[in-house]
Amino acid sequence: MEEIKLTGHPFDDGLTDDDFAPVPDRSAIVDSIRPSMRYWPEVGRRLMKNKVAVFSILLLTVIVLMAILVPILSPYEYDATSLMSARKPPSWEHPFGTDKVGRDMFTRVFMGTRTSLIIGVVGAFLPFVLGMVIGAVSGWFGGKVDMIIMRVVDIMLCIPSMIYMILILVVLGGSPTSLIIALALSGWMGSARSFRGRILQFRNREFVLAATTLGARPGRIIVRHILPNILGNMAVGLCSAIPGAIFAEAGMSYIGLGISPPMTSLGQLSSDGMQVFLTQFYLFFFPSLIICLIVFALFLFGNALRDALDPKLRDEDYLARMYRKTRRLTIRNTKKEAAANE
Amino acid sequence: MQQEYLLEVEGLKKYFPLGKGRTLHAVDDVSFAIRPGETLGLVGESGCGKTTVGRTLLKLYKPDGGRIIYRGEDITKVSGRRQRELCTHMQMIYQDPYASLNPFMTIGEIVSEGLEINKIGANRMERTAMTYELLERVGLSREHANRFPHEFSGGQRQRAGIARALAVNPEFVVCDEAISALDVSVQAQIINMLMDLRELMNLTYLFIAHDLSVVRYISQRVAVMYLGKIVEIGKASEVYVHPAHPYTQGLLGAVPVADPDFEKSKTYQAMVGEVTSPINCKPGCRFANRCPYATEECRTVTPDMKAVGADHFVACHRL
Amino acid sequence: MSEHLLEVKNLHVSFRNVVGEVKAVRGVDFYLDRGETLGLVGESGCGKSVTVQTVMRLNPEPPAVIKQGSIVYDGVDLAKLDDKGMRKYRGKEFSMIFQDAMTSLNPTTRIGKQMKEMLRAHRDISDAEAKKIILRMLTMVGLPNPETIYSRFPHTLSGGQRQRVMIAMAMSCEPSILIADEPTTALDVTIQAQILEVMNKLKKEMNTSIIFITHNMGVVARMADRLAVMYAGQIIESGTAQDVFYRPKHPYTWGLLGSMPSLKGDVPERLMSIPGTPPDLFDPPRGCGFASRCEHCMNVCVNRVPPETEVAPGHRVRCWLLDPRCKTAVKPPIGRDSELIPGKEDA
Repeated sequence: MEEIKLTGHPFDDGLTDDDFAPVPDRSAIVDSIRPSMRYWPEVGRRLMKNKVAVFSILLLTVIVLMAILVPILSPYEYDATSLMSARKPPSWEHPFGTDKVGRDMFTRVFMGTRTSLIIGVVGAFLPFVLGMVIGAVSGWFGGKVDMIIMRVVDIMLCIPSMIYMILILVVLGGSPTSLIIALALSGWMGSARSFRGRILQFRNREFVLAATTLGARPGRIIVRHILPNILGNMAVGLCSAIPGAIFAEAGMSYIGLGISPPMTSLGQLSSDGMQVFLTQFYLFFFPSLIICLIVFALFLFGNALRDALDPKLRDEDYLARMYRKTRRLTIRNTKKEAAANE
Repeated sequence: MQQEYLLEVEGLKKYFPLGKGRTLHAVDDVSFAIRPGETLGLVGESGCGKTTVGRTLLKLYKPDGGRIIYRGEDITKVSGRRQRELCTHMQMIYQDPYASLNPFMTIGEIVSEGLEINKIGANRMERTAMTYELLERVGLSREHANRFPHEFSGGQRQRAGIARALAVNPEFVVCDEAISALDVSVQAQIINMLMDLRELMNLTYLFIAHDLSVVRYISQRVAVMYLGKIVEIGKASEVYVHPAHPYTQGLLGAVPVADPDFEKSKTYQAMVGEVTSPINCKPGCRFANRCPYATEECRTVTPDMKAVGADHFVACHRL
Repeated sequence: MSEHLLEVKNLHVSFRNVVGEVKAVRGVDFYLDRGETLGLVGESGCGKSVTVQTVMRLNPEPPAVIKQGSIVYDGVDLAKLDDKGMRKYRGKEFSMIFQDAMTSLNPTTRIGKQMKEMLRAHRDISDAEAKKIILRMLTMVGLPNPETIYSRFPHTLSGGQRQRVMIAMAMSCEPSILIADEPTTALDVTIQAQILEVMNKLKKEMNTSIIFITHNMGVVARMADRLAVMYAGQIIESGTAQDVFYRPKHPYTWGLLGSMPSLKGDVPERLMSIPGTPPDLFDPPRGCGFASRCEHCMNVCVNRVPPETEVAPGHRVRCWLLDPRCKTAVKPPIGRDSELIPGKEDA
């Protein structure tokens, strides 16, 4: 029998025999557990904590609401002319003034905002989705299909997109629909390329292989497994693509290929305002201001979103919230232990 | 009719083109067979092609030659619907518990995906019940179903990966380094569980690993791979006690044992040289440049499999 | 005062972040004598790497904080030194090799140049002398043609060759302590055997002490003279390799040894396994870190950290089962010469 020598703990530590009894219920001893946390709600929470993000969301909401509600808010029709009140400077009656045929600029600016926003959002979204589908096919099936699609993309990227836009608009005429079509046909290549890269990056991940061995078809794998993993980055990309579409529309308006009157857009309004800039600068100022605000807000939002998705920040924040929750859990466990001891 | 073998592999080849006329002979003329209810361990060092064998069996890679026969049916070239049907017979457990679960799906969704795809269970309710049962079978609880992979430890994730593979009630499971990324104490939990599940669900495993001691523990038969070829195959008790191929001998001698007196007294004959890559292979034994007994014949003639005992085959000219 | 080469006492290390701290090391004591190999074993996250990185003071501080404790080397408490003071020890007195050799080699510089820079930073020698030493070191670690290796880039070498280069580099300044943090985990067994061989050979030739970190009980059996088993930031058992392997006293050590499948002996029916997972050190348990996974858990284990008990000279264990007041006699399920503990079933 070996001698047991004790070091460093005299028996005045207040322990009783009961302390050396086996724990009655071992399942009661639980080390603290980290609480559950979902990804997107977390991103949302972080976004809401970011003041810049909140500001940009508010700004965008106000602009969108104005664009939707302007027919109710304004007593004027956007295309109603009134020579009596032509060329009025901003006043209480006409906050943004009137143009040379007496149309209320306030109404027109927000009607234009409506058009521009639709073109911006749909015109950014559509080429994105188109590119996504083409890129997915290219990346997933690989081989010859991939080679052909990628060469087409390369060739199309060599030609400035302005040329397609002008061509399509000349053929289809100036309407929001034809602008969106033009944007979609000229803008899908970039997103196809990046989406293809993403597919290649994910297709040999083990969880994708696992889905394949379970018999999942390519469509399901892309939609259920790959898409959610890249949605965050895609959202950031989309935020920066919207201003691009709005600018493209404005550019087309400047060279006279934009929306045809009496329909209007922000690009067209500011281009018209340019011509009388020296006498009635407000005709140029207000539509340009709205464009700037939209672009600015989207830019801020995109940046905030990127930060909110950043895994590093995520960890810190995650730890913070976890810490608070863990404390609570531990207290509960301690109580449970106490109960078990009694 | 009862077949003798559940799965037979004959002369399986998988080459990967590397460009510039170079080809990686990842799997080169590999043959083996597995009986129902048996576990075949496939061991070898990294780059020997053992994972490629597993993936080719499940058709994640298209074989470049040879035949895969499952229950008497040649499944080498099947595709489409039959291939998807086979998914419910053959499954795979993956190596990396962190990469093998989609971070955006809950554990419940991950486990029930196979049920959903293969339309097992009449409705959602039934599938949920089956998912709960599976989770409990692998030592998780139903409360875990709504949690995400990042909330779990490596061992728990690997359990979820096992539940996913078993959801479709397969009879043949490829365990691709299923435990090598786990801590020792957790490894033991998972091995014990895999053995229990083998009894319970009548499973047949192809157990791929680089750790010889783990394979010895779980397998009835063992195949040793070196640079795309099987060099020795046989009953585990035979191969571990009487290794016949110089590579197997070297491999077994290199594994340190948890016994300090034994380890320190043992004279070490570390195998010389390093594993190369099987690129544009010439005929001859691939182990020749590291083999202490290599002769001219070894460098020019590819050795055939020879029987050295009951159910024990070795590819070496020395025998 | 201290007869040991290196003595770490009551070391506490935490990683601070915005909200609190992860208590990675929670009171670690160990020592290292000249010419011996100390094995530090434990599972991932048990604090073994943090411990040695703290000895080298490699953890960026902050976020790492040495809460208390001392690291005495050659009469100097390293825990109190600043970065500048530490520089003269790093590389010269202590060297370190890592699991992934590639991270510590500069991919854009040739092997020879890197080693030469390292060497000349610590020793006042000429260029030609440095080259001679380097070539000798490269030969010593078993690289077949040192001249070619000397002028190659790290990425053109295989994993095993890189690890050899790392060892050559670490040993070229003839450090008194070599810290090896899982140096063979990423390597194949045959290469691992070669590397272990090289390390043992160099140790003998240069009389270096090694702290060898690993989770592989086989590797530690081959390498270590003494070993310390870590769990949840504490050393729960330490002693000579024979003490720990043949007469283990802590339930975690039993589990660790029992759960490792072995090539030797009969194939057991089932592997011993430890249920559950290690605790989160963000909020460590109040009592013994192993309490929730231990099948012999007593009330006291949940509430108090067990004191260190010396069961044989140099064999120290942190477990309440060894307290004389403990009535339960437990037969260790593992170990060649295990006896009933505690030795007082007459109580």
